[in-house]
Amino acid sequence: MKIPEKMLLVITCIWFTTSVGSPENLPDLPEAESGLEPSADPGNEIIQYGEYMFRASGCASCHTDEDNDGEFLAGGRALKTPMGTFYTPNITPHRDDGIGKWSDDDFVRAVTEGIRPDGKHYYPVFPYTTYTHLQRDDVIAIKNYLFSVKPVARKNRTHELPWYLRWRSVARAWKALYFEPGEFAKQPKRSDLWNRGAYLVRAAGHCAECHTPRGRLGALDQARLFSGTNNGPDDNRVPNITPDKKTGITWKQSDLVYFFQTGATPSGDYTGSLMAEVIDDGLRYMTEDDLKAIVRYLKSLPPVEHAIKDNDEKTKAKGEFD
Amino acid sequence: MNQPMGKIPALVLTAIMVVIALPSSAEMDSEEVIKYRQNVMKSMGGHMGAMASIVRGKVDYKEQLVHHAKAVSDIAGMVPHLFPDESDFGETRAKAAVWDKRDEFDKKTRALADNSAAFLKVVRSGKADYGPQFKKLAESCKSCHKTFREKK
Repeated sequence: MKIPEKMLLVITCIWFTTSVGSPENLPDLPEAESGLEPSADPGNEIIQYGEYMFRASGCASCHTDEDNDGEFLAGGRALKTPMGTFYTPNITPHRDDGIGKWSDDDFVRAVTEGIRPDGKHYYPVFPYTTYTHLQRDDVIAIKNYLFSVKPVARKNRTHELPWYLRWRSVARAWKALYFEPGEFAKQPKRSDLWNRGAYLVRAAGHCAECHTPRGRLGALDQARLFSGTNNGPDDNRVPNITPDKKTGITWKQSDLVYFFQTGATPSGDYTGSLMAEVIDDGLRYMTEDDLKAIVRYLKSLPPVEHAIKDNDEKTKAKGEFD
Repeated sequence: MNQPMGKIPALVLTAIMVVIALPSSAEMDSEEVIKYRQNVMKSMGGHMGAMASIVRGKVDYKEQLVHHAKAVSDIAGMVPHLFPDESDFGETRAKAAVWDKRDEFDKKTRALADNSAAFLKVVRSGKADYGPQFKKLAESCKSCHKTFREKK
């Protein structure tokens, strides 16, 4: 059902004025069910696997305020978006400031349904829209890993949003329109390699969240997935990574894998800024087979012609692609 | 004698005007510096890309490796001088942080110089295991771009 977007905003305004609540500062998380005891054994297989999935899911860069020497996973990083500035939460296992009191169910619900333990909804700047496709076991493994890192005392900071977005019911409204929860379903006609790549990209790596243009209400343009955007995070331009010959990416598989491992482009340039973070905090930890799977998936995407300023034919001919 | 500028002797006035007209070697046109700097960076990228092909075993030009390594080491020495004050004026991908966080930037350029020198040393020594040192060198490129260069 298509609702004109302006009308949507009006409906949302009416909704939140009539529904529960006044604008809130981020409250302390309420007592949750007692969760798993953090494992003290770093040799624990599930923690190691959880750490791998953590890296594949790219959690570290957003949840660590590196620019300001913030501690690992203690949050506080400012994410500037057209909707306002969001501050990432503390996901260390600190019992008061972090997720130390969360149960497995709390964590799975947060990551795959975008719902906090107190029942309020997350804004989709947290990409549960992608993480919803993660398998429950993988999410729990990630939680196990998180519970093994150092708890850091750092209270979450309130987001800086325009007044009409400060009610969580806005997030609920947005989800009603744009969020489809559900685990990734393998495609039986496709190879194992393709399915693995699809899972890594569509469930964990959440590449589409940056590499896709968004509509005015912030939803991904499903018809142009992975085709890049001029209005990326921090006002960055994000390349078109569909295999479109004119405006997309046509690198060889081995060059793409090498790029994910080192940041090197075929022209000898080294990527910087946000993609360097993605590589440093996630991609470079992955096995060569998994990276090949990702490339297999990316190369199977429907080519979408979408010229990102500067990442056009002329620039590509020079072999630059950053 | 007619002195249109009043009390200032014509000769002195001429001398002043000549001095002002002379280009100062310390002040370069920002846009020219940017163009120069980008060309230097591209040349470094060219050598890095070529070396990557050799290191990854895609081509067999091992005897040429030392020339690329020397070039990168030489160019690394230029980099700290390519970002003078006021050379952010124009179309540049250099972030303001280069000048706002100059100490941190200088650390990165020093690391590049050190890593490229170390790589050159390994290559010259004839050792076959230059892979790890090349990796460290590549890291210097990415590490600086991560903090100090905009996406296009």
